Amino acid sequence: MGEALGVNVHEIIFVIINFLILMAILTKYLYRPFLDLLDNRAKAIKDSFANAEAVNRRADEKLDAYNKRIANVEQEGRDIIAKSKQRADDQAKRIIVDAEEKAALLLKNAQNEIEREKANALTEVREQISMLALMAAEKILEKEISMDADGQNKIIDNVLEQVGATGWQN
Amino acid sequence: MVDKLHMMGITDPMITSVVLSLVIIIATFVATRRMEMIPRAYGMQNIAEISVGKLHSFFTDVMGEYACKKYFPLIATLFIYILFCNYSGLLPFAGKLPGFQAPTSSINFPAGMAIMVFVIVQAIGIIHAKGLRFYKHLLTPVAFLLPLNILDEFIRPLTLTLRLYGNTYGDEQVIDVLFEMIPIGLPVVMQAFVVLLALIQALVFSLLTAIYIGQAIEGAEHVTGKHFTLNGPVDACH
Repeated sequence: MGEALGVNVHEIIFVIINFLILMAILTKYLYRPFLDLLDNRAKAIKDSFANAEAVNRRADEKLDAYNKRIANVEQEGRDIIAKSKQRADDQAKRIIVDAEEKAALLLKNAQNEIEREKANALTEVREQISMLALMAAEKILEKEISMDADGQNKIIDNVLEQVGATGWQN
Repeated sequence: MVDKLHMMGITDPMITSVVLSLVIIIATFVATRRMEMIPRAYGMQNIAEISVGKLHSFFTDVMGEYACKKYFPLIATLFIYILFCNYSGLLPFAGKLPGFQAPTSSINFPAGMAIMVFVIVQAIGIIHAKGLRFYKHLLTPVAFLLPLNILDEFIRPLTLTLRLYGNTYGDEQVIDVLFEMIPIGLPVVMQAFVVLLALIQALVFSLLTAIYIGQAIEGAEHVTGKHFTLNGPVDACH
């Protein structure tokens, strides 16, 4: 039956060997390079999509953040103006208070100075008067014996005129 | 020269088979000479890429990812080789010129490939089951079907052989008869059919091989209780 069909063991062995050699060559030079290439391409496309998705997500997040910031900008502006105004008011009040304090201090110092000058002047007047009194007493004592009452008055007037000439009252 | 080869025991289908293998290898080298990430639309790389990609996705659907990744070269080479052998019978003077005969029109070529597939399928089963316990799957679904299951195993290579040989031989005989009856017109129509039939025969042979390999792995999974994945065997869920 085998012979009738033309069965040839050599051909059978040959086809198996031929096929295995062909398969080995195609595996090395066709299937492996192409399947690797397809895998790499699929991976690259997948990575590109993932990357694009990540970029889109970041862009959306930024857009949301900007929208929120834009929405809050007016409120933030009002807050900033209110804060600035409040700060300016506080500063103005502080300046006024400082000025008042300084003015009060200056006034007080001036008053103290006046008081001190006044006290000095009184002390000086007292000293001058005492000195004049001593001078007058001295003159009277010098001319007491030879002089009458008119003469004593005249001496006192002279002393007073001398005092007036020294200008102590100024 | 052909006579010398004949005297050495090298037949016409063997010569044609070697020539076809060389044509396939040369086409492969041309296609993979300068591979680019983005190939030219009508370049050889693109054609080869589409062919390999489509075959891979088709057989992945048939066998599953694990089996396809491991045995795709075998299945794809069967398809390409048988397709080229079948189409060689459509060329002018096929079977008429010395040293030129479609390999699949000789019963030895389908038989050789069927025997090889039978041995490989058994080997895959034994390797996956880690021993001869692989044949326990012949006792399923019930033990008394064992004779039928054994018969089924041995009938497979026979059917593979006779289907491919019968179709190719029959197609050639029909074309020859039609050519003798009406030399113009009708043989061309028949040849157009044969182009499709040759493709179908190549696909059927490789598809059945894929199914047998898938069944061998399933049989091994059944007897080991493991499920084979790309990351190694895992315990099967019951």
